[in-house]
Amino acid sequence: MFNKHSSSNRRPHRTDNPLPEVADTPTGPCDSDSLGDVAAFKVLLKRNLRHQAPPADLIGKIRGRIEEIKAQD
Amino acid sequence: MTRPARDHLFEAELLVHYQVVYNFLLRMTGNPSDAADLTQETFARGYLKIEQYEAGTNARAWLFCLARNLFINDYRKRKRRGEEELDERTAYHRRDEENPMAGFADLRIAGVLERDFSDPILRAMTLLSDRQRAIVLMADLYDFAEKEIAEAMEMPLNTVKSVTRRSRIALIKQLSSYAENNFGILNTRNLG
Repeated sequence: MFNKHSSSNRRPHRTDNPLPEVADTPTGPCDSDSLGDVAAFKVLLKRNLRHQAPPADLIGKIRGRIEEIKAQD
Repeated sequence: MTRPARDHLFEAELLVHYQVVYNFLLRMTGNPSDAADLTQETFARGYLKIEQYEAGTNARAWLFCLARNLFINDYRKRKRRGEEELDERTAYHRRDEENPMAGFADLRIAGVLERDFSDPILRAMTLLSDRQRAIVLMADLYDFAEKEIAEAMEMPLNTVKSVTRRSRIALIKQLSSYAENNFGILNTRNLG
């Protein structure tokens, strides 16, 4: 009886003209659509999380705190 | 370092970033008064540790590192509120994780950029963990490079990449729901 699992059947075929290799990794974050979406996502965040002015006296308080540190040195 | 040199370096390279540090901490705390207090403390630490800062390098990332440490190690311990945090295991299994921005394509095409999303974005931010929120702010609001985020967060680069990806997916999922309910914009992607 013909042995379907003979070693000759398992041997890989070799051809003189192999097909070109095709990348089989999934399309990652580097494809251009994805990069465009990242850019647009950043625009959305920036438009909706706008810069807030700090309290007017914050810079003065920071400098005051630094002066306290210097005084302790 | 002499005191004049220290003072000059502090004023010229660190203090100029106080507004962006305040805004970062405002987004982390959600509270202007707490953000102002933490900003003061960040710069006080910056002054005390200025010998560790190399002049002419990335002052903003260095300051964000101090601010992030203060927020997590000091502020969070004082104000532990038991907020619901995103389950990262759930995010990990999301179908579109290979392309984290896939879910945003539909929203972008449907004109989501023209709408006001300030409230849902703030709400969605609160559902992120502190670490995720800090990273997405640095990456997408302040345009830090991944390497800078890794320095500021003191995390391996690959971890930064994966957390950034998951954070974006989590935000997009929240925003998709809002866009559908309020503007009828349907997202066809399965975000988990």
